[in-house]
Amino acid sequence: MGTENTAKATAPTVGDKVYHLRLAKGEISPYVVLPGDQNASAHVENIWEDTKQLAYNREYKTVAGKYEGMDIAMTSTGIGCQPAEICVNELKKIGVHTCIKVGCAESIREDISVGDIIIPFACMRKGGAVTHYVQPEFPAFCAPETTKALIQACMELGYQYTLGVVCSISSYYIGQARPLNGDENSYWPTQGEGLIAHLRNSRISAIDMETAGTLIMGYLHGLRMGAVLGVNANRITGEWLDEGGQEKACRVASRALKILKEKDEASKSL
Amino acid sequence: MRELNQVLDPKTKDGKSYYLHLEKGDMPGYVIVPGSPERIAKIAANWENVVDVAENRHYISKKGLYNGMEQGATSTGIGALSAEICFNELQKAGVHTCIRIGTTGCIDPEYDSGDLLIPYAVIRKDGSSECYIEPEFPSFADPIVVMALSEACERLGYKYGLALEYTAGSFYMGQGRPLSDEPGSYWPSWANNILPDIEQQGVKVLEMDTGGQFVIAYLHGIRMGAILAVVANRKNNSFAYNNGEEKACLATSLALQILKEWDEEGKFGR
Repeated sequence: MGTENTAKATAPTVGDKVYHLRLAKGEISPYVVLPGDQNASAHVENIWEDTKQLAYNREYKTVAGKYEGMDIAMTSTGIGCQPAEICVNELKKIGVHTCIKVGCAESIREDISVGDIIIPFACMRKGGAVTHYVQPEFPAFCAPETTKALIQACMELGYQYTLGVVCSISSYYIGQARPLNGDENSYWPTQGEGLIAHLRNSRISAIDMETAGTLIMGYLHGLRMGAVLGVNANRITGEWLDEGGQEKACRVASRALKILKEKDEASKSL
Repeated sequence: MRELNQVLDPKTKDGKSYYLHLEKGDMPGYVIVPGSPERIAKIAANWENVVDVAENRHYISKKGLYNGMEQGATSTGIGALSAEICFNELQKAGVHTCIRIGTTGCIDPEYDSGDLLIPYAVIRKDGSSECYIEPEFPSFADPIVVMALSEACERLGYKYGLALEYTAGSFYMGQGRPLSDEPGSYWPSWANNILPDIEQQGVKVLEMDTGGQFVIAYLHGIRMGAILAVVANRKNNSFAYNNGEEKACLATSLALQILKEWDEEGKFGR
């Protein structure tokens, strides 16, 4: 590992720690939950035991703990797929191999309500740092074994879930068809008007900000990726905010990581 | 409902769909879609009570009983454009689930001719799905269909893998095959990068059809997956059949039976 003296511009470090996340190689479990919001630490602290904050720099907070006896960690990625790029790059460098993104999604279907769980096994994407990595036609997807583990986790926890295609949009206001304000002269391109209808017509279940980019960049770093989202709004019915969805998503992600770890150990012992 | 007239929904003189010559109810809900019309006979070899349903151009449709379950098969022809027509008319005939059987080139040295690969997501350069939706819409197999195909291969003891695929709507140039041995033949500089770039992206298979079919079928409301028999390994420049097609046909019929059982017990949420 690099020290202050050997740090390179192409792979910066602070002492023996990676530059943004401030974690050293081997410092956390290779099975990691990735919320966008650093405040999701409150959810994992409700679910895990022996939690300890290991690092907190900018929007990157890392908490380690035990889920049903298994070492597990959470690192927040920040908002959008650009900070997530930095996060997955540095997690890979410290030895992480499996990540499940958790977060919020806004449903665009009447039958998926706030508090519900979506497993976004594939995503459409609009913009974001991932455009620097791959051509537009490159699909955003969860590793199939992670999707399978997430389904199993929902079944074991007794949660209803939707296997859905989500559209990750690298903009919260105009990109997600939110007028800038009530002023009639404020910027409101025509694309805003038809966006939700177009996505519904394309059989998309929900929208969010960073799942697609996080999945692709994690994949390109050689990480086994997955995602599970809690619905916090419904753009069709106007329902808004339910804190329960995020915590359910954290529970599903934790359980799915445990299922994957058990599978990994079983195949090692063959 | 949109009203469809003779121009928008062309029919033959006797009221059948224009290309496939099918009427609603002619085919079962679960249908196998090979590219090659010759492969229909290999699929039907695993069935009893085989019925010839329709034949026009390269679109051949048959149905029969696999272990007592009614299944259909319709050939799509080569490329996503020909397949688009097929999915449109199959959906109008009442089909809800399709599994493509194809042959493929492989760039993963772990798999050789006769092995089976199940694509779960695809980089789509097929040329027809771009007429339907933005390039960033992902091309993916239904995750439950992927599980059913995996389960079928395991029960049959076949060597199989899950794969990220690259679909090119071109067999020669688009897949990095020089047009001829002549030094002056067309060979743009980027053609040299096709194989190395997709190898960097972790692609295991490249062929002509699947990526566009997944998107177009999804937008028709059809649940879809695919299984591909390796016939060429581009890494060691080998080409052979080794019964991969026959294995894929049997695995697909079994996978449809497994899917139907899962559907009937309501095993997975939607």
